[in-house]
Amino acid sequence: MNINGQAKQDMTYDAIVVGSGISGGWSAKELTERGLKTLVLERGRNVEHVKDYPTMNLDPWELPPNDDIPHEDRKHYEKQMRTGYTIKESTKHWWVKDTDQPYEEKERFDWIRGYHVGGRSIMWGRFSLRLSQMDFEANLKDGHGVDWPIRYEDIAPWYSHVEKFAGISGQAEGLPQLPDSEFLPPMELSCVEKELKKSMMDKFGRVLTNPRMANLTVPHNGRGQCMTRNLCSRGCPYGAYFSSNAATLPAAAATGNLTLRPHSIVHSLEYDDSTGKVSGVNVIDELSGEMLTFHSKIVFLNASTVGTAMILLNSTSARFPNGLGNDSDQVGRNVMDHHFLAGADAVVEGFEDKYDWGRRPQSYCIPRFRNVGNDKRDYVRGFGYQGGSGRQGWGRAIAELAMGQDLKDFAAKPGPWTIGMLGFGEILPYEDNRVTINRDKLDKWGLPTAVFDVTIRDNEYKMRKDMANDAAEMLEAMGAKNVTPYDRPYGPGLGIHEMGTARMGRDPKTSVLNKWNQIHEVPNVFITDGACMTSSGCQNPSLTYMALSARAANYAADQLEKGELS
Amino acid sequence: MSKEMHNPQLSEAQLISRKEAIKRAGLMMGGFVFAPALTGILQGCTPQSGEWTPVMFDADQAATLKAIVDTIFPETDTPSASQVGIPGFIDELLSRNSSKEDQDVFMAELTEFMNQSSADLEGPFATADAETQYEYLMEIHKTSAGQGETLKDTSIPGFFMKVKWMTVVGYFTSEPGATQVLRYAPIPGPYRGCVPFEEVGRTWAT
Repeated sequence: MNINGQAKQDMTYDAIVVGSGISGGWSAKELTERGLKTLVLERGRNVEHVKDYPTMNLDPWELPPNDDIPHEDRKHYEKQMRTGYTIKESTKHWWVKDTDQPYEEKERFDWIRGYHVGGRSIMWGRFSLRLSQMDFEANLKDGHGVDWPIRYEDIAPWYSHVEKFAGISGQAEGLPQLPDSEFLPPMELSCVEKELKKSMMDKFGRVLTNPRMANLTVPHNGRGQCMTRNLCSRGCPYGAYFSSNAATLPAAAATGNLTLRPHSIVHSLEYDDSTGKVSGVNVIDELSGEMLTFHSKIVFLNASTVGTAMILLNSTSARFPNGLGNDSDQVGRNVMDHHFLAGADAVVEGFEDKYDWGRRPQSYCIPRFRNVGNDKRDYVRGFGYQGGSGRQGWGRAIAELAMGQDLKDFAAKPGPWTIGMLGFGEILPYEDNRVTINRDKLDKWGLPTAVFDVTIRDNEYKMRKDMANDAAEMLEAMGAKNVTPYDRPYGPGLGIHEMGTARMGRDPKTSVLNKWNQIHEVPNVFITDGACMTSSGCQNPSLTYMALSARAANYAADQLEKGELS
Repeated sequence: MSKEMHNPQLSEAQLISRKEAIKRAGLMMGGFVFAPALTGILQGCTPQSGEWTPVMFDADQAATLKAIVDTIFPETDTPSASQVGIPGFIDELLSRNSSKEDQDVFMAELTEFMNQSSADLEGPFATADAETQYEYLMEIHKTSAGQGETLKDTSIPGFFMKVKWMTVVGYFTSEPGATQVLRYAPIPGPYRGCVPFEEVGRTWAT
């Protein structure tokens, strides 16, 4: 791309979207489809669907032992490895090197991320759940955080809009606390999951439902159906799960209105006092190191929860000495995630003449049942479960006292069925759970680095007891054996569901964004990534980012058509 | 889950071929380079066949390791551990994936095993006959499983379990292990949650 000598008009667009991940892809699709010339700035390299998935078709024997990275490379991924599953030889190219992207932890915070076109939409878990009216009303009712400026009916049509395009498989259940999506056919439950489902309904009146996930069970919008290889995070040759690369960015490109610019690290937004709007986006070209400024009528910040907050905090001006749109001092506060690693596992006897076919790429789903209806606990909010089952595999041959043909025979026979469930709990929005920027410690591009001070507290710890005990109780009730509840150490961020650093609200004094995801004081800047979340619910959040992005982008296009914002 | 032990049911011909294979140990370890270079992976290449040149081991150490892994998985109607490249797999696990500290511990334990077994068997473990190797390792395995006392005050039961872990993982992530002993479906197609076991027939490799 020729940058030098570009005239301002060449660097001017109708809209700029910062970030190409799950929310940025949606902003780009909707804005371009509304006829707006849109520049998408992505800080990392380009990734073309299929072409740039180097490991997608590798068999286990084509990878190094155990799919491990070389020991000498581990020092680059000290924090990214904390999940235990992210940094494998087959996937490490999707994650940042901590040595290139340092951050500071006052308390442990696992900031697990990848910088490339598509962002984490390539590696996401694909669990897709709607928030409910209960979630949108929760802050108002129990007094934690501030009230959402929208209700379920505001977002419901936009959930439908994005689901019809993205393709979400699942089973309708008609539950108020977990509204149904526009579902493609569900992926099946295993024999033992069906047993658990029946037992839970009979004994507790609780629902277990099929995976709700952005994996296609039938061909959809030109993308292929899931072949259940369960290698999603390497990139899918069939485009069978939703990602920016497979779905929204190609749709945006097809309009002819998209310009995608990789290697473009946003430094800050330029505020224009005379118009009261942002007039430019300052970008460091990752390859040349040159600073460039792009212009547009509107800007969508989709740089991820922490990235977006850092851009705002770094965008200082006479009007906004503490960061753009930060009159409320809420930018960077209320960091939320979902706390997990509490649940239970068990062995299920019987069904030895049964097996499953394929590697289902997502878990079954148990919608929240605590603090729902008449249920009242000693904590507020609640949790849902994701769970899986399967027969024990060849790994049990390691401990088995056998060698030779005996050991081969033993390994070739699957073990008993096991089943487990893992809670995902809501974290309340605490104002002092905070990310700030350190101007004294700059990264290699001269940008300030992030400092995290985030903890979970009494409400979450009380909830975790139920997450373990309820799981164990339900597994006992189905007659499972060796029921083992657990509550393992969880570090904030490990859920990779960061949220809340520029929350939506009704009052500019206590929130950053209004009900259309506009910065209260700067109406041509929209934020529709996880930063906008006013509360976290216990549902995996990406589907909500998609819906809010589509909703805000269409609102922005409407406003531009009416002559506003420009 | 039977904990009972049986002697390996090896035919005369298999024993002979195993002895032949042991003689060649250290010279040629099974005609298979397990792991491609990283650049090969990122280009989507498949591993090339070729001879294994040990990084961590001298000829005697390599021969000992080969004898252990082939006792764990001998050639039967399916390949032996060394035939699917397990010595090279272990070499790479250590030299590429492990810390210097873990490498040093493993090498010290291997040395202890070689010295101890040489004394116990009155000759190198690698050149003992297959049945002797099996009986010797099974006694050690019993100790590591909490069912015996043999060598319990040495590093050897733990060392054996380390090698067994590496062997089992390497074997069942190799193409012959995954496809001939287990069932492997690279592209399963639609998920079916509850099918008769006979449709699959063997443990899934992945």
